[in-house]
Amino acid sequence: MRRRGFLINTAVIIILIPLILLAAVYEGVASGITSAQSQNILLSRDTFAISTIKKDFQNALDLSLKRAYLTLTDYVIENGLLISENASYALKTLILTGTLGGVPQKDMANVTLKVWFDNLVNYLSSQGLRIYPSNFSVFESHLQLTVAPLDSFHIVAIAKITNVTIRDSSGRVMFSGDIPESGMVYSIVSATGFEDPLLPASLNGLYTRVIQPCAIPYPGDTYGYYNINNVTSLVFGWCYIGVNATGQYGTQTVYYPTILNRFERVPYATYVTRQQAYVTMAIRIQRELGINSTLPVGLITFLVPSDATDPALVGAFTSLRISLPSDYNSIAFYLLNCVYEGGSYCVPGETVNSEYPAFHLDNVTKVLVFNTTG
Amino acid sequence: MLVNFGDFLYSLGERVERLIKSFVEVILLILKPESSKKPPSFKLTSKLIQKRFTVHELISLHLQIVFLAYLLLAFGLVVLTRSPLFVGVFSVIYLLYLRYILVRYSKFLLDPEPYRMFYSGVSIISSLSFVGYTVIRDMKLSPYLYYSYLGLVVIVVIAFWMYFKRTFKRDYTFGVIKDVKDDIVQVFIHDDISANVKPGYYWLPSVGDAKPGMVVKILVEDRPFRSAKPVRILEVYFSQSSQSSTEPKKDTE
Repeated sequence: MRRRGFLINTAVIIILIPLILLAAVYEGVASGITSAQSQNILLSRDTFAISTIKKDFQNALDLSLKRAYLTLTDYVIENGLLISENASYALKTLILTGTLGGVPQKDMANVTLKVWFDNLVNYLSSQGLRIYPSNFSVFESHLQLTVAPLDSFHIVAIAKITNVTIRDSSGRVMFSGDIPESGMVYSIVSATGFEDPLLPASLNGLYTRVIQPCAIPYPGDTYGYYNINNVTSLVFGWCYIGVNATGQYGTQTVYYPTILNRFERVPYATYVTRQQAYVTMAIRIQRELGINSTLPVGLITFLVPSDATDPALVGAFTSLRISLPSDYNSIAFYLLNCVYEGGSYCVPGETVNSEYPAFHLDNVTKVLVFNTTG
Repeated sequence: MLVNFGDFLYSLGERVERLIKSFVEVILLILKPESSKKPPSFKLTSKLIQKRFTVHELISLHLQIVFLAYLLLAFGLVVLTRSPLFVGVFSVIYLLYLRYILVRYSKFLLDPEPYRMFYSGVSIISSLSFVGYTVIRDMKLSPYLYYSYLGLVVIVVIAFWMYFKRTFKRDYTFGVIKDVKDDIVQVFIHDDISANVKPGYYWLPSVGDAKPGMVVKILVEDRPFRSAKPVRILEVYFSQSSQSSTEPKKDTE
């Protein structure tokens, strides 16, 4: 066949158009698949990053709350009960920045949310990601944090970081929203096994108790009541019982302290306001956690000042030159606050039974603990 | 030295001025082409073509090469860039250049109308399909839609091809007898897009009164996806001209 120039057929030209386009489409689809796969990988990395941040935030809050509770206990025992700040706020600043009344607390050094947040910013930037808010003072305004009693023996911290935006290096928004996306992060710490700050702080460290529940931690219809004729376990147990925050008998009303009130020493009116506020928060959080029956929030222990039952306590009173009125009340919180604050804290009490004449209680508490005024 | 340097700067300025002037001229020429009196030279294309072909084949080949180059470059742009802008601008430049060639040199083509129609048609279809593809690719649709789009383009291309064939298709072409040997004759046939014949010398069965230099009408046999094959001489025109009667203008050679 002779070569007839370089001209090609028009039919071939016509076919070439869709063929070249087919090649382009094929390339596009193939690269679309690859880019979809890499998007997928990115996406799983994103969700991984977000769920990691959420878990990490939970861990940080857990650690921080525990350490803050310990630090506050130590601080109160060493420096006396909180007079102006409330314990909830004190725990909050400890968790956030590790300071108490503006003074950095050594024990909080590496477990504050500030440290956690700075680490988070560094970690994300090492992954090529940027987070907004990017500095701690702005972050604080995006953080909702509340510390409250959960029930008689537990403290809860609830937290949420609102309006967080995470971008990659090209500015693409990878995450925008709250951490966690819905609800809050809850962190619960048990006060059981820790020292009760009220007693050593009030008695100059001469007397101390560790918070331990009694045999019946929550006297009531569900778990039963103590026998008014056998109060030995309450007198010698040096243990704690949880009661409803507000007790009423006849015309008399007694507000029982929550665990957070045991860090504070304030005038009676302030005490009642704060106690009510703590109880309201506690009940709200109990509902949020799905606890439908209200758990008691009040926490009490009894001081029975007699050589026969508690010589150490009598010794402490003697060395501190505390003389008790004859109608004192054995509820530690009321007894000690009556000594230091006086006024409405001095709730008179009567002997519970003749076996332990030094064990005095008011009728409201008697009904709560024994279901009878005896 | 100083004078020489001054001279150098002066000549440099002159060159730049000339360059700008010719650049502006080229732009104006491309935007507002006028029919040329001189046949085109197409330096690059003319190297590829055999000497015995005429300016008609040269323009036809040039149109083909330019179109194929456009297809390949546009393909490259579609693959390498993400924005419809690049392939769009490139298509506009190509379409302007095509218009320039067609307006300026179509009178040197033997039968310009089918050429103009064919190249305008395929160029517009392919540039629209490329730009359209880059646009729908940006929408990140399902791959099936891309292939549906491709199917649409195939339908448009086939429709255009049918329309072109219906309008311009001939089953004959014209040639000039170059040599007569007993019962066969050698004819020279020009590139003919309407009959889909490649240019060149063909041996055909002779007819009685065939003499060299005569213009003949030749029957062609269409073959799918290949150029048509000249089969036999249909009519003989008694022409003294060495050119085929399908060439309307003497000055094409």
